[in-house]
Amino acid sequence: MSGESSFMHLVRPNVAAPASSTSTGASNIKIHAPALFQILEIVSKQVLSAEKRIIGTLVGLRSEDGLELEIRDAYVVPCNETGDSITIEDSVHKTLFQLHKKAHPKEAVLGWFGSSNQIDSTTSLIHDFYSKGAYPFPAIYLNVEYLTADNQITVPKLSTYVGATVGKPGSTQQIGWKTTTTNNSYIFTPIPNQVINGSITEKIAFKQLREKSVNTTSTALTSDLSYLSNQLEAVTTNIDNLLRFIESKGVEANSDKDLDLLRLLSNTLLNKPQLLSNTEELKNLFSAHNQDVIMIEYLTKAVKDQIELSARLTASAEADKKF
Amino acid sequence: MVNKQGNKKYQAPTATSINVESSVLLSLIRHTSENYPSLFSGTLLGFEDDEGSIDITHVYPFPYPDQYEGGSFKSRSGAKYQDEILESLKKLGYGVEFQGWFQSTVSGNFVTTQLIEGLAQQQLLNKNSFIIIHNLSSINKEVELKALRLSEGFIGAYLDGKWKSKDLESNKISYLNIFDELPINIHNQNLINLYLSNLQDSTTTVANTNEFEVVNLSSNQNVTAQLLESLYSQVDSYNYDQNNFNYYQRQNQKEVSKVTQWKQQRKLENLERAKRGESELDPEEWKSIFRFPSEPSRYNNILHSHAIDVLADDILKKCEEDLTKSLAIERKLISEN
Repeated sequence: MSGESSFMHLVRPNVAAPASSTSTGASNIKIHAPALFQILEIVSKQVLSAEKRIIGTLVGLRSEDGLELEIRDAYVVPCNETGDSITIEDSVHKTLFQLHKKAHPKEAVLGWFGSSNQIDSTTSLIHDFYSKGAYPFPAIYLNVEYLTADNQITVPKLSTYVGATVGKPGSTQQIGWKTTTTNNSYIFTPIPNQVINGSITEKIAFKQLREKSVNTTSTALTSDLSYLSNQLEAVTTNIDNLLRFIESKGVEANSDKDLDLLRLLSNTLLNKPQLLSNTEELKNLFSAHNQDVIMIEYLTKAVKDQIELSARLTASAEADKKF
Repeated sequence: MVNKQGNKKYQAPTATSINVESSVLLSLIRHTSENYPSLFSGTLLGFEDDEGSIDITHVYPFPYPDQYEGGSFKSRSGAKYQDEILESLKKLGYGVEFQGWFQSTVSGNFVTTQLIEGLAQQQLLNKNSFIIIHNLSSINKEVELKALRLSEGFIGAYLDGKWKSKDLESNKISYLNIFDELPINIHNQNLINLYLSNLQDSTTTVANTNEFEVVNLSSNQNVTAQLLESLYSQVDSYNYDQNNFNYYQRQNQKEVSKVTQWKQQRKLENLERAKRGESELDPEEWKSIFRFPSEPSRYNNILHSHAIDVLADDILKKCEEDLTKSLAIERKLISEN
């Protein structure tokens, strides 16, 4: 994935007046991991031999200034390519979006995704279709490239583009069944994207998926305390790494290279509350806290056992009924 | 979702595990955790495979949050939304069908009559229906999902509908086995596996978030308090129900002692009559004189008991977590100084 620094944004003078908003095109795209997974699942169903194009709609949020986009969901839209023209099943796209909108009222159509190795004339035909949906903002196009030139599967590469109209509206083209539309030309400008997790809980799930992804096709969920110990281990490893890093830098200790890190570390260590040096007080507080916890534990256990006792007593009392 | 009372032929479930696509897992978790503390439920779509498991390939949350767990399952708008989605997916050529619901909840609070009722109706229609419960009591720390369906015994008692102790006994259910838990397996598409295994470490970020929250000593305070509050209210409801039951037991006891007294009296009377050479009066006549109170339904009792049990388990887990952390930190700090 490309880092943000490798892009430079220039505001292009707009040739086509109607699409004047293109100058405020998106400059950063955040792809939510669930959406990405959906896209990957959809494109992986592409039938390789038939060269059938699979496209779909991207829905999500747009920041107020339109500069930042969040792709939050995606769904497939069937299309048929015949020679130079393409039929997109508009009705499916619309119903699915309406349904999505019901549950996620704030989300809008952002653009579309596909998986092809090149941008061709069909790309701009589809883009034309989605530009209307995303109006007045320019639509975005997300391409998942997962095939090499000779149809070998490789690591999926995500690239996002914002398409802006250039030149004067071109020839008239048939899109859909009845609608005739002018075929605009588009210039696709690559923009940076990053994959994000929407919430911490989702991030944790994502991490688990990652850790277990190698060599397995399915993983089971666990719900014991193993999670805590995993995290504790992770913290220990982090500290070890940090120590190793500091030790390895021992020779160039006087350089300013890692000044930020040193500052952060010394601030964290110096901000030690007074309390920490007062062992007696600390001991008291800890034992009070532990006793509280143990008390809660004790009482909860008592409730739990009472319930069981009550159930058993009732059952036996009712079973022993004489009459 | 149609309530068919006539359809009482209940078949035992055949599915033994749930396979969930990773995209479904992430979408579900994102939706429920983003909207916390609102509760949400939704539809799980997929298909049954031949090896006795259910594959879930799509998830759609219901448009509105739930006021209580299970609220959307029998609502008309929820059912309509579900049907519309199914229909449009059919148009896309996906052979998916409705398989179950998901529901976000906090610990044991999901055991509501609405949820049980909805699930029971669904299980009568489709033997392999189930529900995925997302427990948000450890939100931001841990992912707690479990797939549940009502046990065969429970459905049996549900069909009997009386919920007396002897019905519970004959169906062999108690509050501990209302649900059967199904193992959840997460399935990745190969392309996703390929993508995941090629990820660099720093590619995913969430601003200002900390997934190490679980190791923070005081991270559980609010949750434990909330869980305890839920526990109180469940115990209150439990007690309310128990009072009815206790009343019944006292009434029953009273009748029993009356009957014993009556029997004693009749015995003496009969002895005297025997001495006088008169014929005996019927010693079984009490059956027509006394009427025993009928036992109230134990339904709410077992639901509350189950909720309390789950809540208590979660609280104990949190406490254990707390103690582990606290003892570790304490030892470190005190030994250092």
